[in-house]
Amino acid sequence: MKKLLITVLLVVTGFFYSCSDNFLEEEMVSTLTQQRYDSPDGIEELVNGAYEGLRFHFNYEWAYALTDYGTDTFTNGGGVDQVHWNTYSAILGPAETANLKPFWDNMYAQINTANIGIQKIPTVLPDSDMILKNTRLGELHFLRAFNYFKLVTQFGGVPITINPITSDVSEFPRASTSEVFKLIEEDFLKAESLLPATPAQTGRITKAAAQHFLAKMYLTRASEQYADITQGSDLENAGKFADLVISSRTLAPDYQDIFNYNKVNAPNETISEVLLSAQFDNTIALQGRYSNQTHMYFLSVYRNFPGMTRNLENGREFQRLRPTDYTMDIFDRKSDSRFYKSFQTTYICALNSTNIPKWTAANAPTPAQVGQPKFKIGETAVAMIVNSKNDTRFTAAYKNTFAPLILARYTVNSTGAQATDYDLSTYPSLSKYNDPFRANLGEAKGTRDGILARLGETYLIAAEAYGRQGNYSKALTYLNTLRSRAAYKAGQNRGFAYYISENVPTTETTSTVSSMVATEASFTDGTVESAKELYPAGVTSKPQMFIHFILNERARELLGEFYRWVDLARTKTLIQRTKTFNNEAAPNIKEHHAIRPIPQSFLDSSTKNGIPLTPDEKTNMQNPGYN
Amino acid sequence: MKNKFSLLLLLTFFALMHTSGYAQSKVVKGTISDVTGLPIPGANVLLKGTKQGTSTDFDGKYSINASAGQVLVFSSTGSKTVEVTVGQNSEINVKLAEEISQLNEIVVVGYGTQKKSDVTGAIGSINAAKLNASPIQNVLQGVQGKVAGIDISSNSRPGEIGSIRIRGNRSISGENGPLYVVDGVPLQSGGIEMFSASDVESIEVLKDASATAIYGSRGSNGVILVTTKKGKTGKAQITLDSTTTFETLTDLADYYDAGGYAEYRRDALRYAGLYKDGAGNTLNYADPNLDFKYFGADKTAWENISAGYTWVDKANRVPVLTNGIPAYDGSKIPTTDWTKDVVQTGVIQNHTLGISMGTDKIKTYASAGVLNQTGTIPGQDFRRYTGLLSVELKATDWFTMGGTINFNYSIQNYGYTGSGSRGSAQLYGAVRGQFPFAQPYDADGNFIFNPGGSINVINPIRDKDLVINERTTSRMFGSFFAEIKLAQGLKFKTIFGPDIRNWRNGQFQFAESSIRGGTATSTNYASLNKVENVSWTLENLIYYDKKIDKHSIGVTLLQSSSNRKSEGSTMTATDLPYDSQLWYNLGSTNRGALDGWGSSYVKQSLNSYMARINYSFADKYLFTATGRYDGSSVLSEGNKWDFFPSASLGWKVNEENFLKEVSWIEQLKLRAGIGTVGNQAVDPYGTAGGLVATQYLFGSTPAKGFVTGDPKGTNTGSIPNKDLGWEKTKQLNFGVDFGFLNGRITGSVDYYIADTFDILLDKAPNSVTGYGNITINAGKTRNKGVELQLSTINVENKDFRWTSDITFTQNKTEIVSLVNGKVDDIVNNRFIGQPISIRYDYKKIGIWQTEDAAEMAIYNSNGSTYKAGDIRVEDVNNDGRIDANNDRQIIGQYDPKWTAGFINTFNYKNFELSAFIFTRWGQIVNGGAAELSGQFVERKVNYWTPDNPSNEYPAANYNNGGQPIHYSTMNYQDGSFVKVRYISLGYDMPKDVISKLGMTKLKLFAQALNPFLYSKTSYLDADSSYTNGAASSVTNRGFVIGLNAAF
Repeated sequence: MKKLLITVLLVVTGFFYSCSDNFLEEEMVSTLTQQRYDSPDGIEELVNGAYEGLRFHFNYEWAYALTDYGTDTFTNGGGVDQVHWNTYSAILGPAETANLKPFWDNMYAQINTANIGIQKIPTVLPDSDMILKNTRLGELHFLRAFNYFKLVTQFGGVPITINPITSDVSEFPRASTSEVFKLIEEDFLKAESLLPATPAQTGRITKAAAQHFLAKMYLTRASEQYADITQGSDLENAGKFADLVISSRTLAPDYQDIFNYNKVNAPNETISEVLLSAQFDNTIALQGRYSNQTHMYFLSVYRNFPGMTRNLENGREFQRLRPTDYTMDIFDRKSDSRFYKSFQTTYICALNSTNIPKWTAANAPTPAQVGQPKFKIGETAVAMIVNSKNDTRFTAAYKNTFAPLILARYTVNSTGAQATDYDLSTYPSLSKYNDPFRANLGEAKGTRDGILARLGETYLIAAEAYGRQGNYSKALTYLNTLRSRAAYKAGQNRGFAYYISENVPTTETTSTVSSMVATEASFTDGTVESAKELYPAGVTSKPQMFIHFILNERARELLGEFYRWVDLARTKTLIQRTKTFNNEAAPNIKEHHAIRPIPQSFLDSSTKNGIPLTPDEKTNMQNPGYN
Repeated sequence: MKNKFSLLLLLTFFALMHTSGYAQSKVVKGTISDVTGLPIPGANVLLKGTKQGTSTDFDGKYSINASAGQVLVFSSTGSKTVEVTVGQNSEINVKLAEEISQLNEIVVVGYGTQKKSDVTGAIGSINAAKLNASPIQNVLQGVQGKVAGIDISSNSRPGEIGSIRIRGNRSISGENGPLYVVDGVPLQSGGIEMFSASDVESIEVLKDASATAIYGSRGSNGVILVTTKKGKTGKAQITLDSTTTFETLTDLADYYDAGGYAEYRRDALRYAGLYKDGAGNTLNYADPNLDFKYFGADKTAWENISAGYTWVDKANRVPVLTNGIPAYDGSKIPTTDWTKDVVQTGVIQNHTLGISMGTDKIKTYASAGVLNQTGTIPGQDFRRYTGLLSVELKATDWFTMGGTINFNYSIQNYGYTGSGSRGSAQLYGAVRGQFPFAQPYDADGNFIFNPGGSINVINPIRDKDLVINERTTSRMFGSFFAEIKLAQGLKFKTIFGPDIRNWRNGQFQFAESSIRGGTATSTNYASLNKVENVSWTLENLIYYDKKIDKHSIGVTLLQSSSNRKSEGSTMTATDLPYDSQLWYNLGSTNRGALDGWGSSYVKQSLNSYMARINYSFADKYLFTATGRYDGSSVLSEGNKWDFFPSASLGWKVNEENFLKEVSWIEQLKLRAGIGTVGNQAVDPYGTAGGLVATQYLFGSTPAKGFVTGDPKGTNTGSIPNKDLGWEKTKQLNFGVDFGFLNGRITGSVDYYIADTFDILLDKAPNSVTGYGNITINAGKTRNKGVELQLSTINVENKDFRWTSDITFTQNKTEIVSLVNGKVDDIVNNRFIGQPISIRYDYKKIGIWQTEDAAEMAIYNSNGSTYKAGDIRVEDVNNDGRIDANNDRQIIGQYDPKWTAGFINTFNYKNFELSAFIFTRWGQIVNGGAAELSGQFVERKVNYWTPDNPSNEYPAANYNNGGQPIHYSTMNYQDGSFVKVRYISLGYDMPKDVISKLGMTKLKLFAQALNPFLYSKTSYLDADSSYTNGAASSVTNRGFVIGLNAAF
């Protein structure tokens, strides 16, 4: 009896637990699935997620590798991890996985997110709030077009998907460039019609942003690279949409205002000029895997100079991008404040180290200073002198008369020959992205917003659109608006390095507006003005010169803002200008480099009629020159 | 020292503790001894046919009530059993010969035990003595090389264990590790690493499907059954196992001294066109001004470099000139021995104290153990405390209850792991990356942050104290049972096995650590991560055994449920005010908020029914059939349940009349088995396609998002798969077990073919889909292999004995089909007819030489940018063009083609000398690619220069970005190696000596660990690699002393 009792007890308790019906059911406790998108909250999260994709363009080394490397404006510094993107060595091929593949993969992942939202919003979001519904839909159409625009300008025609992917499909033939542009046009137009003029929150996409990108898209399709698919109304449309933006927004009064980042979420990030920016700040939990790392890439090595140590103000020197001679010479540095406002030319002493030089009897300003350190904490320790080639002032003795360490672009050595203090790791650093509000010096995750479109560029788009139509005077009004802003204002201090480099008395603070006014002479062959524009050999006709003038002006206004490679590629000037101005890229760059290789991982996983592509089919799918 | 003292104390204590034994009225008494005449304590004496018995005391003496005509059975572990009929004499002295034949060994087969001779599946078995033949920190280490068909890799970080594969890999994306079952309960909350090897009685490895099918859906990668020690009837026995190991780190690679490094950097500069005089000529000698430019950033380092020159005016860098060339001797540059501060003698102390005692009614075993290991690299250590209590209570004839509780607690200091692109896996590697001409501290004793002046090389020398990564684990594992004998041959048994694990990882990085930047603005960092696993298994079993004439039948029926739940939480903070608070007060951060936080929940469950029939006829023909029906929560609706059958046959040929007379054959058994087993090892919720969380904000308003795929993130997103089902393996196994020449030769040979189909396949879908992954059932792999296990007694006489144990495993895995049938999947690196884990890349065939200019020009006109000194790869289709579509090829496989273990043991009187050799052959490992930028420290290699037209490594190039063209092709090395795992010398103290100390056994031993290594790639210890792992040049060698004592 006891035996039976115990047995029954054990069996009953044993079966009790396991036989309940839902024992094998999966509980979704902490995991969300795509069903989430069937609710309005889910749509909100999807759109937030789609916005996050904008951060990609500032996340990591791909930010500059695909955009500023291997161009006329920047070449490589001493940090050569991605150097093949500058030198066009064969490592920059289909199998490159550090930048090329992430770029492709991320654009398509973001496109799929947008596709899901575009399909779901009409049924999921209620009609009771049409503003919200239209805005979300407009945002996703914008983002889808934005991503395809990024793809087409790097790769040419790419596969098009406009519906959510729900299974393991792998047949994705490349669409033609024209088809991709058509989709981009439709999406931007739709976004433009749906989006509000005023954003509900900082950083949301507005009508003006859509108009800016419409103008940019039309101008791109009207550029030389796309001559075979240019539509007759493209330039007109480019001008029209640019004008719409220009009429609704205002330029920042001073070029400096755009980059004057003096605290986290500083006012400069919300000025009217900023049309769209990827949002970042210092909330670590919201920074994601990378945050904005562009603060590191342009910086040269300063930490070994006397009185210097690595610090937050001056940043982590990844020394990837070094300005070319073209970049330093294309500015009228005396009048165009954009140069010194774009570059860091002085460093403040951070350390009273023993290696700070001392005044000697030969160079001390007063006898009392002999034997004293030339500078102390808080004073200028280093000045980068950006002088011109014929400048013979900078002998060792002359440099020693200054308190800070003088590093001049052109010096005279002991034998009287021309030399330089610059090298792979020593050059003026582009300072547009300096970020002293990171958690600490070692922190790669930056806190600044990344500008994706600003009104300054809209002016340049308008100028180019009108100029391409032969209306140079209208083009010049846009250009001169920007150039007049770029001038030094009366009373503005121009900084220590300016006065020494440009050999201007420090008392000089009159406005330079008048010398900044450009005329057609700047793109008319044979003029004094056009000689200053460093046109590559063979650029002689006025329309040609105009395009190169625009490129020069874009270099001056938008230096290092991650547009350059595409600008050169679309105007079919990449090979010519890079060969002329970028010594490191010149030996290898060839015609086929004006378009990027399609990632091998995409080709390897593609099928045709369910069968993987043969080597020949892959070769045919690849852009020419990369097989 | 303290530990050794306590050990001594302990020994003395036990020596004093005279055991009294228990008295009984004596009818028969005597002494049991071994063949050499030494008494055997603890031997069993049983009155045959009754339950009355006793065991010998430490002098080998026994006494028992018995009457004439009754049979006494004398037995002792490891000895042959002797039966003596009681006659007139009241004194019976017995000598027990050592058990040579293992035929009567009992093995655990899962849900029961079987006589080894009756086993029909492929099962490898290893007993406590074999397991602990060399001192080990975890159970897996003791198994390596000792059972054919299993391959175990090493991991030299204290507290970490290697990976184990039984009969190779078969699943492509599912789990390939085996199922562990301890005392009948599957481990679900953690692995085997927490069990003390001294507590293990035996380990059985179920290899083929006919053996593993009783574990159904979890059986496809083999099953490892661990049985912990149980109490034994008889006199109490106290055991003490104690070892102390001393280990040192050895680096197999060569490195430059300071002068050599300086010249290497100059070569890199020369090749990049940077080592030129003012006129633009490349200088083939050392030049102080150019040197200053490239070595001068760190004053202390420059002092060292400048020692290579003879100076006229050192301050202005004017050297003495000889024939117009600066006087320079690189050997005068002092070389800093960086690593001396980050290597130490690792000490491992392992002590286990155990007591076994029991009566007919109560049997207990209790043990307590401590393992204390300090690594060969400072900052890495591991301490583990284990406790085991096993009790079996036989309340009545028909009801037994009992259980085992295993508790352990461990603290692991994981040690430094670097971060960033040049981060190193351990402190040694980080320090090894320092320039030999630089110093950690300047002449005034100040810390140098970037020794040598490179901004990418940060001084890690202080990090051993500044980076804390402490992991604690507490684990409670139990196995409780109740058994009721319902009728003759009919038993009911319930087993309940809870398994609870709490894991905590606390990390703290001081602001001064290299990881945190080490400057004034740096902040400290702390994180706390906790995981709690609670799982249980509840099983109800019915056993029925019946013997009718020559037929014997055994039936086992099972119902089983198990459940596993994991909850986790994590938080990180920076900028904490008090370093002393470590991760214990994250709320105090000066930032006002945590930097990150999160929590998680995962649950899965399994429900099963199983039946097994064992049938044998005349003890000659054996048959086993099993069927298991499993349902799992992780699979999609409609695919949750499946059935896993198996059958096997055995034929004891030696029992047949025609062989019975052949005296030299003791055992000859043929086995054949077939079965289907499953693999459900996909992550829970995999079928639903979870969303990927993103972080964004508008202005400063958080905007949490969810997307379907995020290639730049750590979770790239999955396409949902509503059809996901079981992966199955159908395996056929043929085996022979043999024993010849009176046990001089014993062993077994197995041959198997395993087809795995509906493979759980994680694959990267086409990138245009926007997803990073999809898990599907597709494709088929085939595993074929041969296993040999052989034990021989080569010489045996009175004083001397030489035995050998050999295991040999050859396994070949090939992919038979994939998603699209018999079509390669290049992007996922999977090829038909090839093993699962292979490398597909260009193949390096040498270095482009200056005289190849004409040929190079052809390639360069077709998209390449080769120069003399670049790596030359094979142009497979020979079209003058190197392209990914036509010129990549299969370079090698990561799984070994065969492995073998070879143990030789020599016994001379009380001495025992044994050596264990282990080899793994035919696989590639990753390691050894050289960056050759001249900007960082790496292994010394024979690189190309115009004067040294090497075909081994490309030219050093200061501007190559650390990535010479075709960089990856340098990375594939032959990983074949032969390693002497240990050579051990043991001495058994003579019994007459130790018996005076009240001991029954005292064995002292000394052992050399890893004394010899032959590696095909001389600078790597490939043993640290298994699949796709990068092999290391760092290896440990050691020396052990220890004792086993019993009282």
